[in-house]
Amino acid sequence: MVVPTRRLALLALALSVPVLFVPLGLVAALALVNGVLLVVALVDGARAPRPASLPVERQLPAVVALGSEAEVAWWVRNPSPRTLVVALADELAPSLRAGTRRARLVVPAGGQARAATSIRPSRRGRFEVAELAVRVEGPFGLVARQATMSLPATLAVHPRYRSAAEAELRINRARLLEVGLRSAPGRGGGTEFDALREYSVDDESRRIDWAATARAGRAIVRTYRAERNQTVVCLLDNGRTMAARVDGVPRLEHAMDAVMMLTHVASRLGDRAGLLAFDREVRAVVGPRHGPGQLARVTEAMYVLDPALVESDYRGAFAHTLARFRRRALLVVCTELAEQAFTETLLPALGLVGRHHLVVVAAVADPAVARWAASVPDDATGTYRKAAAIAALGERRRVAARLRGLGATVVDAPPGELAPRLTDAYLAVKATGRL
Amino acid sequence: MRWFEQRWARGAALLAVIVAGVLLVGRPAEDGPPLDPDSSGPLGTAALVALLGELGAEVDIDNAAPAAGDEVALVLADDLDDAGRAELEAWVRSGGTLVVADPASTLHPFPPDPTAGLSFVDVPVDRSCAIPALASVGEVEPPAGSVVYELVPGASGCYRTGDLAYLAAVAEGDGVVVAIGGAGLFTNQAIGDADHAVLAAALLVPRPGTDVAFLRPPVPGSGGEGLGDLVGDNVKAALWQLGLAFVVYALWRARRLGRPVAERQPVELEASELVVAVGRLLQQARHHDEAARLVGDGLRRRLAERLGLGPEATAEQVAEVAAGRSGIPTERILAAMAPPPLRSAEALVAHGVRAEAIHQEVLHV
Repeated sequence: MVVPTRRLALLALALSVPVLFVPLGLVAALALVNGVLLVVALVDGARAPRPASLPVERQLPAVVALGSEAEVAWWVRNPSPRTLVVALADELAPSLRAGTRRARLVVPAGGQARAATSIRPSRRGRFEVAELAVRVEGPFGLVARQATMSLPATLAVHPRYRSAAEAELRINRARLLEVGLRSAPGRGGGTEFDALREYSVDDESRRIDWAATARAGRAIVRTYRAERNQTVVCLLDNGRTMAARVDGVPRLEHAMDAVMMLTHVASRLGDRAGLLAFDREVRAVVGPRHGPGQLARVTEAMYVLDPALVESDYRGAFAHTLARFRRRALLVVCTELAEQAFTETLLPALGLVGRHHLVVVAAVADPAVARWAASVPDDATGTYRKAAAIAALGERRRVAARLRGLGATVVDAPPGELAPRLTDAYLAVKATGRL
Repeated sequence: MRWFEQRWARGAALLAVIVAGVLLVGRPAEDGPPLDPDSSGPLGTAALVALLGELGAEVDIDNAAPAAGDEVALVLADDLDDAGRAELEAWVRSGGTLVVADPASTLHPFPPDPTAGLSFVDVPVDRSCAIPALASVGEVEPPAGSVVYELVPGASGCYRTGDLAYLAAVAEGDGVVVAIGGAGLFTNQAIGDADHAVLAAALLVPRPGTDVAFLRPPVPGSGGEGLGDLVGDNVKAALWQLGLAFVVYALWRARRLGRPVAERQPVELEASELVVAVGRLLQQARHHDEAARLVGDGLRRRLAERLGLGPEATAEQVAEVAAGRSGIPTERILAAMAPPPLRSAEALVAHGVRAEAIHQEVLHV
């Protein structure tokens, strides 16, 4: 397609001055001036190369974490013997927050030129970037040729892993405890025999292996480590209650952060972590495995999830879990503590898994509601809102209490604390040998 | 008036006011256009028509040229096209008397004073007159804006100022063309002044029963020429060129580089929205007591947890322990946790403030 340029419009504007002095009358003067302009523009358009004849490349990162910055670059090569002015527009979605999705390049004869922009995605998901519009100007810059080129690529925007530092902290602490470099009070220490070593003043006397002590002639203690190769399966609720926003992002994002931290820690501590995401039906399944690649696999499975505005089917999810994972496991249900959903769907379904698995229910609490419940009201609206917030917190507490009564562990924490507290609950389960 | 808060309602009301204003202010004046023979307003000429009728003239008011039987024709404002003008001139040459009160008209041969363009006469003018038919006419008072003419050879003039005349007459074929330096003296507001009526009678009704053709003056704005006729061809060409430049500009802007990228929008619903909605419902239903009970129960639970009593501790137990720890009277704490029935929203607000104050006093937060 041939399109005029700004230069052509400016030239047409400038011609309104000389036309004042053409002594040919109205029609003849206009015909003469614009006829010449039209001929020049047609010649310019004919001499402009076809956009499809230009080799164009796009450099797009395959994966970007939500909120982080990346660069998108375009390369245009010019096989023609003269300099070209090329404009291009890429199919970058608004939520990628590109600095610009358009670029204008002056490509030297036989050479190439590069333009780049930064993106900072504000939304997770898969972005198909398929088309690139290219416009090449003619030698006079009066007319350009434009075409849309197919240049398919995919950009994956992964969820933000905000608790990565917390995860490393807990992994290091757990390892220190395992190798006995530090002694810590409490229930730690694990239950699986690991090795014998010489007694130190911090060791409990009940750990002394008397037979080994007699053989060695000095005090020897038995060391234990947390059991390994245990199974942790995160059941990520993708239903309507997870779409509501807490601290500016959907609950699902906070839950994903918790799933990533738990998967990270569990897989690094030798356990097998897996994922099952569900709403009305099962959306994603990652089989429990250990090793450093498991976090990437779980993240890859989660990043395309969008909360579905439907009621979640806990029974179906639990049945699927039982069918897929028969070994006793720690089932972490990341959901919302809504009384109606709990009573109608979660409560009847819990019996399916409660007998064979250890269940932890994790939910993100809304700090705004807690703030309103503890606020000093200054008008009637604020007081009624305070009352409603207190009622909402009371309902949440009732749901948590009933879950605990059914043997589940409940982690109800505000954003930023959910992931660490959920991981702490997992570590506590491991340390006490409940799994 | 809730409906008025909507944007469309305000827009409709504004439109109605504008239309009413236009209808009131913009409606045509009842006086009619200037020089209109049917108008009795100050600038109309109905009095002139009535005067001619009183003098026995047969007045025919029309837009067309006078008929063959007409003896006198009056043109107050010349808006004739070339054909009409030629027809009228032929009628004069065949013996008619044409009175033209439009200085810009080409129906008469008298140019306005060339030294001063349109010459505004000083009133009163010298009534010396060489036209016998007007000998009986006394003073006239030409209104401001009237002009005086140079006399062409063979012409006679009246109401002179120097070599110029306010009224000039010249023979044209078998007829006569009389030019007056303006139609102002024939308007309703001026026809009664000085000898204006006598002048009209002398010019238009030389004898009873004269057939007078009154060419209706044009309605303002009804002419065939517009502002565009004032603009030269070269300027028009430049304006057309500006328009073409704008079209090119629009074509350049209309063809965007790359299609808009659409994407599905996420759900924008705050999790706390349900709490806000429940609060509004409580307020609209005026459930002061229910809200006060919730606020009191919230205080009981928070104090019980912080004081190590467990969440199920009763209000009395919590009040007793809190009173012992803080020195606040038990009754006051109890009233905050289990308030009496409230009568108003103000009482509810006061209750909420009291509950928080006790919480802070007991726990020193």
